[in-house]
Amino acid sequence: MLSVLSYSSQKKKRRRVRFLLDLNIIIGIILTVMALSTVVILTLWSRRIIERIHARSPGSLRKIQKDIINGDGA
Amino acid sequence: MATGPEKESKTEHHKISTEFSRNLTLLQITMMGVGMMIGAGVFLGVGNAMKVAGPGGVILTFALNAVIALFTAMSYAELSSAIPKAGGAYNFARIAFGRGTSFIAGWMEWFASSVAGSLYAVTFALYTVHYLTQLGIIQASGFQLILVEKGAAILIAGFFIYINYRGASETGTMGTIFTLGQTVSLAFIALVGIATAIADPARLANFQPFLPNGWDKLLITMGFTYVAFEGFEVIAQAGDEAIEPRRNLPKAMIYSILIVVFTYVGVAFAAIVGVKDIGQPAWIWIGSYGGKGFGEAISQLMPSYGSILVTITVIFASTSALNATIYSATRASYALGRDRMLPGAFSWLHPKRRTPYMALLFTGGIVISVASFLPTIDVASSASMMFLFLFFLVNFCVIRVRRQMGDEMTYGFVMPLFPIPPIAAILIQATLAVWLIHMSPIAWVVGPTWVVSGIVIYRFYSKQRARRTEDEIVVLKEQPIPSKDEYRILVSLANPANAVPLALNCYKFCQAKGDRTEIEVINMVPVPSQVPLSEASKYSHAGEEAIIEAMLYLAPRYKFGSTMRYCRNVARGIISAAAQHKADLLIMGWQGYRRKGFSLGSTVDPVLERATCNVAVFKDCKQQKNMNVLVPFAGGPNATFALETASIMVEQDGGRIIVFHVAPPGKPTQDIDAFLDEIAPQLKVPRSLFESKYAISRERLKTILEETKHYDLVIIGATRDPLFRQRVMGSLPEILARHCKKPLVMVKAKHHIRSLIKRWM
Repeated sequence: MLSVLSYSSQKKKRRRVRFLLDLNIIIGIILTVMALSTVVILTLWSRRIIERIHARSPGSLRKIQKDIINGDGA
Repeated sequence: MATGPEKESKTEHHKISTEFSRNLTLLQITMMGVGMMIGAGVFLGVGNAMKVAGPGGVILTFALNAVIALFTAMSYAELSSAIPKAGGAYNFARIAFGRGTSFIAGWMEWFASSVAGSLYAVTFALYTVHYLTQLGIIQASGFQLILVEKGAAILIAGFFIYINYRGASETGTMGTIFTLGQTVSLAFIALVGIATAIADPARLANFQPFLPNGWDKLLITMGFTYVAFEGFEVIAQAGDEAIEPRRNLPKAMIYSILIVVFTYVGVAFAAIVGVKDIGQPAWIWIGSYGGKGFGEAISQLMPSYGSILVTITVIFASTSALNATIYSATRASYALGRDRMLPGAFSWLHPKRRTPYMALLFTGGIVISVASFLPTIDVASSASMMFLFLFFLVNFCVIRVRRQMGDEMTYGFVMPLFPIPPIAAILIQATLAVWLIHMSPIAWVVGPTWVVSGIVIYRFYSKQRARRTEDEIVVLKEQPIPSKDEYRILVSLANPANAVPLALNCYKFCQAKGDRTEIEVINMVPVPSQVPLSEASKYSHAGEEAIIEAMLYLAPRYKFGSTMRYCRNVARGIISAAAQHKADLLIMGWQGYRRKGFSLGSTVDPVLERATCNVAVFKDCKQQKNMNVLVPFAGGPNATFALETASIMVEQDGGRIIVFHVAPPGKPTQDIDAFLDEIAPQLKVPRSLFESKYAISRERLKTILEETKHYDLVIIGATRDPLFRQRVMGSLPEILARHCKKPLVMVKAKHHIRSLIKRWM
């Protein structure tokens, strides 16, 4: 009886470890994809801002922010 | 912005004006950044990081570090687009924090880049000599081998010092060739890794266990490899030499991060899947080789030509990084010389080559000395730490420059999501810097020693000799009150016409605050941007007259001090004076009209927003009797200070203060009487001085404006809305102030925590 119990708990433990490992991989992949996507999105967004600013002409912060808030900016 | 620095030639009888040649393209500066980033870090980093954090940890380390690096790169990009000059972080700190901080920034920048350069020279020598030894071309061992390696390091450093001397274009071309070479090699390795994984998916099992030592080890590896993303520093140095710098510098910075992160993640993936049938988990096997782990893994991935490919790539990487670091360090010391923080010789430009040859000579001296004599790895850790400090500082600079000088700068790029990226970068970099302590204790000896030596040099040499920049606020004449003992009022006078009314109103505050009140009168002399600051004295006559007028009223009874300063921007001058003089109250006048795009005016708006003390702005307050004073009340944070000001301004004999509240229909009114019962004892004035009045109306502004017609004076608290929101959306107090025909005082109370932050930011 005891050996059956210990076998069962070992099996559970192994399953738990396996689950945690899988969870680590899933979280890791999600984090990596999110980080790389953030880099790509911020790069494209920044590029768009630069092009918008230079399409008119570089100016003060107030002028640039106004363009952005007006909706025709970045 | 000044187009280029000048140099006085010692060899000619007349002065020769020399400036950098502007011929670096977007591709060249991007490649310089990529070259400085990839350096030797990825090759040494993969094996070492694998040992600590496992296979998943390496990939995550590079991906997460890229996000943080991009945050800092955006700060660099924004500042470089506004201040496109050689000097990078030094220039940013000069404008944001002044001379002392900027010198230390430039001093750290110079050291960090020079020592990183020597590390790359040594890396080149190690790999090249090792490969030549394998081929049997070099047959040396022991001390002889060390001498050969040192000799090779000196030779390669000397070669790139010469390339930098030849000119920026040659530097950029060489950098582009070498960086393209290494990037293509690394991209090839990454592609082979991906193809291998597709052909043999069983190799993906090398990713298990994903994080064998837990998530916390990720911080250690992030701290260790973060400096592998430092390359945007060198791009910032190219401000004087890049074509269209306001557009190309920010682009190059963000592109370089993008290129580098995919390269790093790709080659790390290739290294992990490259290993097969080694009888132990892949991460343990790669980690056991430490810095050489990457090379060993790639040799497994490509058995026939992996070794030679890695060697060639390392040679490309270390030489392109060496080229970029010499360029960066030279420009950092050149900028210090240009502003006479270091001897002027550092700013001498070669008449033909147009390169800062003396700065290059000194930088080359450091690179060769460190490569020859010092334990480079530990000193390089100090350089890494100082890069972290620099990035930390630059993130502060971007916040401060936006807050204080946003309307004066010409921006070619403004970062999205501001201020989240710089704040996040500051917090994470601080954490990484702490973890770096565990990696190299010697770094905490070498780094601070260099900083302390910089402080000593600044204190005894640079401080007296530093050149004034165009953006500085300069004191023309000053008769200060020696030390602050009591309540201090700062009165900002614009001209003789507003001097007397402001002095009289100031007098009322002095009477209320007691005989020991101190008064500082300040006159800011705005100098147009086309006029040199040295000509500013021509604009100071009206200010002198105004100060004398105020002095006649105030000086006989109270401690009195006066200052005249000239500056490019009056608001910034007033805000800095209020902080510097530790004023408790700032009094200033407003003529009642505004420039388009501002709520109250280009001077009043920023002062109300950013002053670190209480502020009272007077409009049309001549020498009238204030028998009836109206205080529109909405229970905002400035209500108490508005009531205090009203109690000071009202005639004590027979005057009354009406506290007026307008509520929209169907909504409960605020209980003014309860508020007054509580506030009157605090203000030490009789409760009977205040009366409450209520109105119900949908049109609050119109009702209040109608009510103001029956009073001698209106006192209103300013909004707490941010400046930009006010400008775009408008806010009731500011609209009321503009349309009110009666004398008006707008007040804003100091918020202790915000003021403390503003004082530092």
